[in-house]
Amino acid sequence: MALDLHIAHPLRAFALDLELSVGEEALALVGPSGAGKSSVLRVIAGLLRPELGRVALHGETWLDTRAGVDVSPERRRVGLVFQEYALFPHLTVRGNVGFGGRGRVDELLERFRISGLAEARPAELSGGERQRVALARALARDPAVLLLDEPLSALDAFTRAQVRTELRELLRSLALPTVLVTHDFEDAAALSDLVGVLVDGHVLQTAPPSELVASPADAFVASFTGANLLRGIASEGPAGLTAVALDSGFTAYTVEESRGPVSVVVYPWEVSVARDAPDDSAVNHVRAPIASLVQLGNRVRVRIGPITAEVTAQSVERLGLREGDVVVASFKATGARLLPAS
Amino acid sequence: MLTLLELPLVLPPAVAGIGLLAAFGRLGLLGGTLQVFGLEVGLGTQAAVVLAIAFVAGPFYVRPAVAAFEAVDPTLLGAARTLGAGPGRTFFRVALPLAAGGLSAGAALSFARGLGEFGATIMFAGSLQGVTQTLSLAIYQEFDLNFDSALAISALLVLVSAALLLSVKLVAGWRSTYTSLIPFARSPSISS
Repeated sequence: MALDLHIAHPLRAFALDLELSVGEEALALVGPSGAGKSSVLRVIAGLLRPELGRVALHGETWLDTRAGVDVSPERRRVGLVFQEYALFPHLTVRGNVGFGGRGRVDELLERFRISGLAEARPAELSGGERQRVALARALARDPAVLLLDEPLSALDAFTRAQVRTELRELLRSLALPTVLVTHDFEDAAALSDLVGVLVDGHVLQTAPPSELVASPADAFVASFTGANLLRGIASEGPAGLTAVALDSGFTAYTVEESRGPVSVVVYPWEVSVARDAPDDSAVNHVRAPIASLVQLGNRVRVRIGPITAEVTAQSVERLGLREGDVVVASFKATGARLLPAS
Repeated sequence: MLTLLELPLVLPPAVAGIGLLAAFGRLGLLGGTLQVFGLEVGLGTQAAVVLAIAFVAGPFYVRPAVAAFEAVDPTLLGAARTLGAGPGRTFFRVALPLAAGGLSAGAALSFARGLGEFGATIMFAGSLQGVTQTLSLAIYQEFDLNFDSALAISALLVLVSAALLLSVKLVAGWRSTYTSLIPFARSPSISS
């Protein structure tokens, strides 16, 4: 079973124009807020009728504006989990889950560990519990397609990590065509098999998350995956390397060939941090004071001059890093990719 | 359309009575037409009392009712649709229960306004004891004849009104325990 869609629809500032095909896998659409991500889900669910478009599941046409086909939302087999979950406040958990189909309510309550909350109202639930109720409610209808709108954004950081793992396992076990939208690349990479980067209504690149990181199609995709983007002018350097005179005053060396204005892409986990310039194979060194230290789980993002490095919490402790300390950030010439300047 | 419905809110009740008389009375614009169908709503009929009170008090229901439906989160309606509910089921299972607070507030408000209706009723339906005389009209009549019975009727209306207000507040409190979306508490102040 595959979900095929083609949408052309004007939004306020730009037009949505995309074509997607989703097999029994999870596709994440990532992009900044207001890129039209939620509109895509609303079109698939039938809550938004695009100016031009086609939505078909395994040959069963749900929408075809040219042929005048527009199946109403209640007759599309879609499970949509809304951003703030949209639970019915006047119904109990059991009433919410049973709204779409009564047959499997007890099984789903059991499966999502909400049996004990069956008679509670949504207002009494925590964020994580609400999310489980919303998922159970969407699945009670036995959908053929699962749509998730920012499934993790309404959760606090702690619950989020836990729910992310559970959700990934759930999506794997369901093996339904799934489209989820998120503005967070890490969530997308964790939850999905394929990631599409949606900007201003267009999909810039669709690829497995690891491939997006390895070879981003353009500077926006690169920055979205969390990379450092350093602008500069490329010219011929020593030993066959390309030297890039960065706008920030430093010079970066890379094995990639280019001349003229470029963006240097460096992933934070390819940057190492030391007290003094290390004697190793890295040719790029940036000596600058630490501007900030931000802890993300057991990793720490260290901002050094124009560059962000990601190191383990243990390394930070071992080196005794503090804001204001002058350190050296280094990365290899093979760790610096070039993209045309945007 | 809504503005037209709200006209009676600002119209002096006596003017509303005259207007109704001119429209539906025996010699009014539509009076003749209604008589053809065997309907008579002129002076001295109970139908006239109902019409006059509905005309004046109706708008007190309409505004909170519209506000109550507007306050229902459209996402919830969308959610109901994706869960397999057609427009009808979505209305009865989601929109109506969520708007119920505002609807009953509007109903109570308009009932209270109707209870005290005086001007339009006496102009349009008259004050015939046992036929068109409402409690409010009776107070006016007894005020001249027997002050004690006017007091007694007034006391009765005080009780009814207080009970009404209390029940509105109770329902509001009960509703707001599960959602804050319903603009129940502020609805009564809209038209005052």
